[in-house]
Amino acid sequence: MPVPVLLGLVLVGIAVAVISGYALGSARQPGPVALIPGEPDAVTIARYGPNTSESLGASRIPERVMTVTDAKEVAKLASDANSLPAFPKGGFSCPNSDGSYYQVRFAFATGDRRTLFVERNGCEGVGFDEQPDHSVAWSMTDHRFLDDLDALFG
Amino acid sequence: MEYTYIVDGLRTVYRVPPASMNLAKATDAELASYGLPTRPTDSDGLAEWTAEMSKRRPVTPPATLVEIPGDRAATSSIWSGYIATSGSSTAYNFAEAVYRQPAANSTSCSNNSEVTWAGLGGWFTGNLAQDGTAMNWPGYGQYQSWYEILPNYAVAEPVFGHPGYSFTAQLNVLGSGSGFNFNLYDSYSGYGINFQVYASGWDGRTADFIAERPQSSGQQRSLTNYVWVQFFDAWVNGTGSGHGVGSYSNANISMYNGSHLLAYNASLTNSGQSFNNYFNQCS
Repeated sequence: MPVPVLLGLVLVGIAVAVISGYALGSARQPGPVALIPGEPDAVTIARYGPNTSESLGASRIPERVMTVTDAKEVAKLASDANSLPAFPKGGFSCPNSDGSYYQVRFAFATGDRRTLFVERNGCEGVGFDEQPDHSVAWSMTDHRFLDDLDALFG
Repeated sequence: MEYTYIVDGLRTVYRVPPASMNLAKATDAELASYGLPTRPTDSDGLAEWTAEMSKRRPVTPPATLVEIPGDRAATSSIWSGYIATSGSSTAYNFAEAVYRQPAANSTSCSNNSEVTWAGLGGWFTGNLAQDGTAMNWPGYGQYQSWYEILPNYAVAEPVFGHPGYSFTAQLNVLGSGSGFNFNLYDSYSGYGINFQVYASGWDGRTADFIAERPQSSGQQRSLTNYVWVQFFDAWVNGTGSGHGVGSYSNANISMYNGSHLLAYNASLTNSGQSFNNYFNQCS
């Protein structure tokens, strides 16, 4: 086979590989986001109920608050939070959200804290408490973290 | 005689024994076929049963079973509109919204969007298939149509709504739940598109007719000022055999974000198939 033809075939092959790799890559689920750095030693969880017409304008009060200090349980919560996939790029019209959520505060021996905002339904977004309207991860395709929280509250 | 009704999407069968039948002397097979209490074997029970069966006069159900569907008020932080509801996951397999495409007006909220759509599911579970049009939604043209089957993102389609003109967004489940058929049509341009998507995740517990504030890459959008959207037809289960959303158990959903009422509905009209939905506040 003449060298220019061979070279052409190689270039076409590379182009096909790049395009199909890109297409496959963009169809893939986004990888996990490291939400909780290091090893926390306690987690305080507050569960907030749905928005209702009666609660308009009122400051929201948690339905229930609990603190987990068991090292194994704390580690599982951190690990499952860190396994959550990134919230995908693009537009999402979500399942119904009643506005209920968990506020999950991980406390570290250093005194540092990191607080997550975890939607209990809708697109099941997970973000940082300072910016609750912006999710960086979601539970929709990996329910382990949300299941952990639901199980703790029975 | 057998009478079959569909009640709240569920097949309901009444089997009524003939008036001439002496129930106290019916065979065990006849009792079973009419769902009547079986004949007891102990003497006390048998005496009581015989007394009841001798006296019992079977009632025939009316030719038309009149169901008074509930119009339950419900709240959501992102949806407003009406949904037909059922306890059965296969109750609804068709939803069609014909609405006047609303226009985007200015608001005090940045990052605002609105999507108007018809869908199946998404109220009781996260399974939701839907199609409609969008306004001010990053990545989509103004009034561009789209479809979505969660957990996949909304896919833009090359048909655009035109404010003031009717737009049709329809979807139905393909046979045996193997996917969905989508139909989008703009009455102004005459452009329409029809396609099938093969995917699992059909939740037939609800048929939805909704105005929503959607998400964009993880950001919850505030609500565009769409003023109002007029749903001419909120049609459930099929153009031939179906009914308006008001013919079924349904929920009237208002959108609250925790601080304010963002959107709400007027009552159903036109035999339960039409309603107006109103913007109230962007956040």
